[in-house]
Amino acid sequence: MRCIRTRSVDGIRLQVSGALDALTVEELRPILDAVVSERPRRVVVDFTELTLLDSSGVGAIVSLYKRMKAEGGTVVIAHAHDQPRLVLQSLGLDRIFSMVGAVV
Amino acid sequence: METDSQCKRVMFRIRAALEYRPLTVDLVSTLSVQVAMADRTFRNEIVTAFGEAFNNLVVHGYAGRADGMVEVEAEMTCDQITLRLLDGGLQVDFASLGPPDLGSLPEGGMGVFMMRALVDDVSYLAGELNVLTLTKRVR
Repeated sequence: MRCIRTRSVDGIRLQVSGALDALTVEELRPILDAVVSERPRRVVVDFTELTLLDSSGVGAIVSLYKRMKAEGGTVVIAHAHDQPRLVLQSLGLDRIFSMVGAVV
Repeated sequence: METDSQCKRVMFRIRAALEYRPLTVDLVSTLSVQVAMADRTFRNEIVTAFGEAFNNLVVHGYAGRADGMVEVEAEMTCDQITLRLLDGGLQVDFASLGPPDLGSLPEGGMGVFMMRALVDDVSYLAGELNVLTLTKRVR
């Protein structure tokens, strides 16, 4: 798992690549904690290069979503496709998260 | 690998540790290609379900034990895959695990739900070796 963080006009963009799963999720958590602590209005989590997602990775994204929402911010999931999209759909999260640019 | 005209069988034994998760998932992904009628969605679903089963086994079954092993038996036909995971860890009572309240956006406890959602049959037999069986058929 690799996470590249960039600033955008109204928030923060996180490009998460590789596998976000039980093995790698602990690498992402401190990054998400730091993002939330900055209280951005919007966080875009870009899954363009994410190849694998499991329930542990989903848990970290759900945690980000809940904390951002509590602060009045939003989370956008961008370009979720293939297996990661399947996982989000199987949990009904594609109807909860703002999803953009999904490749079917 | 054993092969007859209708069924291919593969067994492998691997450390039940998260470091081995990528390799194990890759192996199952490769095996799933042997289901000739399966499409990419089918393969994604069985690989995802297996990954959740592997996670549960490592985290709950062996609960951090360093010496845990899991044996995987796979059977593939042209339209079905069956994966049996045999482990010597703690018994996990799947029957007692109800579905998570997805409306409350849980941050954990979704693995068994995903397994059940993504394959046709999930069965668990506790014993000296616990056996979790995942079966998925092409529709």
